[in-house]
Amino acid sequence: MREHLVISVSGKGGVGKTTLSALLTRAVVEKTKRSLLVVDADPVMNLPRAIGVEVNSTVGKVATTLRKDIDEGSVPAAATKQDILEAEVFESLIEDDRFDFLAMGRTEGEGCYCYVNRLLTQILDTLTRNYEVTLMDMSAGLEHLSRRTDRNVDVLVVVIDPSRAAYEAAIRIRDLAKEVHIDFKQVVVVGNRFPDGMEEEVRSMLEEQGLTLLGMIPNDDSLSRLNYLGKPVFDLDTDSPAYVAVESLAEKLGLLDEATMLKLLGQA
Amino acid sequence: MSFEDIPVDVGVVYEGERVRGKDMYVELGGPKMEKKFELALAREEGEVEDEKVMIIGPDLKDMEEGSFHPFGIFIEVAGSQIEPDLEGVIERRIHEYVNFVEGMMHLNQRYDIWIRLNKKSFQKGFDTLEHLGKVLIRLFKSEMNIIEKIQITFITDPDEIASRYDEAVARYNARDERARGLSDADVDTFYGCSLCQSFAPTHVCTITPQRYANCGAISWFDGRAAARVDPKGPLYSIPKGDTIDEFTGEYTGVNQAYAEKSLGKVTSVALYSAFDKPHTSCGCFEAIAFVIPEVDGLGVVHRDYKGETVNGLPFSSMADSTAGGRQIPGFHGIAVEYMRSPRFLQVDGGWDRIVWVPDTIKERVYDFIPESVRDKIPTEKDVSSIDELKAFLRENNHPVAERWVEVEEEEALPAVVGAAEDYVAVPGEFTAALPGVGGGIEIIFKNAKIFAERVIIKRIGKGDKKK
Repeated sequence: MREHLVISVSGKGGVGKTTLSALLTRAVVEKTKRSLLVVDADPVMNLPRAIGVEVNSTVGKVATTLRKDIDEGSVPAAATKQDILEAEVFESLIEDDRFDFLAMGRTEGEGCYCYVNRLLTQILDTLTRNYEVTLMDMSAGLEHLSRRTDRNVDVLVVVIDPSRAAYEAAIRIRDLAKEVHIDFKQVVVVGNRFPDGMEEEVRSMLEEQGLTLLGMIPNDDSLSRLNYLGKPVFDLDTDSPAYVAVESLAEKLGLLDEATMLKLLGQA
Repeated sequence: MSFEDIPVDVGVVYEGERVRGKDMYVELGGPKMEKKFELALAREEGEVEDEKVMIIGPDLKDMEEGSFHPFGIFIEVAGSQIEPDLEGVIERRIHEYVNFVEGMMHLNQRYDIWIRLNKKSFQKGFDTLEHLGKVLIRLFKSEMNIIEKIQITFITDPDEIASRYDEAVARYNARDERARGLSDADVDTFYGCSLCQSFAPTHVCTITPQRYANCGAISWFDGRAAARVDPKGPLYSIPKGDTIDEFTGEYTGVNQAYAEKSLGKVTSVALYSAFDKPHTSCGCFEAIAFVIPEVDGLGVVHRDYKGETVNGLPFSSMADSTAGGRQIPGFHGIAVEYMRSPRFLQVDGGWDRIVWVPDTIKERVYDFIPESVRDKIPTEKDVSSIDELKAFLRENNHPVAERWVEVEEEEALPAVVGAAEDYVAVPGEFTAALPGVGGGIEIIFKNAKIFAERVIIKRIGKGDKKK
């Protein structure tokens, strides 16, 4: 199998994680022939609409059903649950011509999910190895770090908007990643909707914290309008400022060409 | 073993390879097909023509690109050591071996198999199921020496699949029936799970054919599958060792695993008792078997039960006293599935000792409760206090009621505590905080047996606190 790159997008709530994930998806789809898996790891699930897919099943739903079957004793006694779950997760995968999409959703009910989650981790690790690029839109909280959902992520992108809270969340994410020993190859920051001319100021502020500013996404009225109407980012004009900016971010993230990607993965 | 005559690569590296929808040449079985199956059967020598591959219905090259087909894989094996008990193990290998083929994906099992072949491998010349048959036969014979003869039939003809489907399902059901009947004595390996050791460092979950993991999620079969794939993972095998006591469920191998994994904190465990050297409890148990001293019986409450149990305590309060990887007599974390086991708390009297369960649990395991006691066990619909419980048990002649009489006659003591000594002793460890000493001191009793004729608890005055 070929090299694969896993990128996860995180940050405080409302800073534009889903927008960035959606625009990156579009950049990979339109600029490359790479196989792409898009994962919505945020139970709120805004990403499907932003990239124009319809979700019928989620990993969480599948896991909850399995847990319920276990409770009711309806799983065949001699069958192995790993195989059942693996197939059901694969069935939840939306196979689009342009990319595959998986919604994590959430599990419901109390019960113990230690084992089911362990199975899911293995199943998802196996799945991501089949794509050249995996893009994960994370939830706003930090649980995904402490649960080590991101442990195979190569590049962690933290989105910030012009608010102190977003900046502080970025610092916390960096620290927590270290604490739980997730060894990202890179942690980069993307600024969203900052006023013009703030880039250098933001960059040096982040550098003092040892964080790299990858770039900025400018305020874009056409994108806001689209968002409000619930239309996918594929409807956005190619020359819209936000999309142009994200294309350049995608380039820097190694999403668009092999050489940058290998360099990122430390294999150049 | 050579695969030179096979047009694609074969090897472990292809395990985990998924065939994406847009790369797929054909799909065999899978969610779009109502009927599909894979089945391995043990046959007599004369019934198997060695290395024969048969295809009933259209072959890969007859199929249209991007099409979906019903599918059956039927494997017949023979050998002097081949028994029907091995069919499940052999059948499970199909999954592994098909996945070794470059460009082929195999998911799930039994009547849920889902296979895809990608375009690239088809174009390389993997255009007949003959190739798949040859690969499977070579892998089976080289990895399982006991297979002396093997023949494989692939079925893609819908009518043929339909006609064989019911037989396959009947075989699976019979196998599950056997699996339910599998006893600890039948196997020489148990499985351990340390997935929740982060919550309870001294907890070791022992999974046997007759004792499900406390979380209710992991069967002995799951343990076997996981330990085979990742022997150093959180699910590992425990050699049973010598049987110290079959009835109580004490095995040298289990004790040794406990001693190692709990770092010496727990060294002796009887798998089938809630009182005497009980199995430890993590934080994830599905239910708690809890002692009700007033009636000398055990209640069981599960995690989803929201109200108060018959002793006035909800699940959550008792969970605190149960959890943490300790051996606490009378507070015992269990799986609901364990209540379906014939060895369910057998040391303590099994179902004859159970005096209260929530209604939903009773419904779920109803068929597994011995008929003699089934209607004598009340739920929250029947009783809501200890007094009502006592009356119910006496009226219905519950087996524990007989024990009261013995106690009352022998010792002439009020039937409070003291009926059975098993839960008076508190081996293990508990901590007590001393009031009035300003904190900072912890007293730990290890393996203490405390006997008191009388315990008096008094509220102390404010002045006393300052001492």
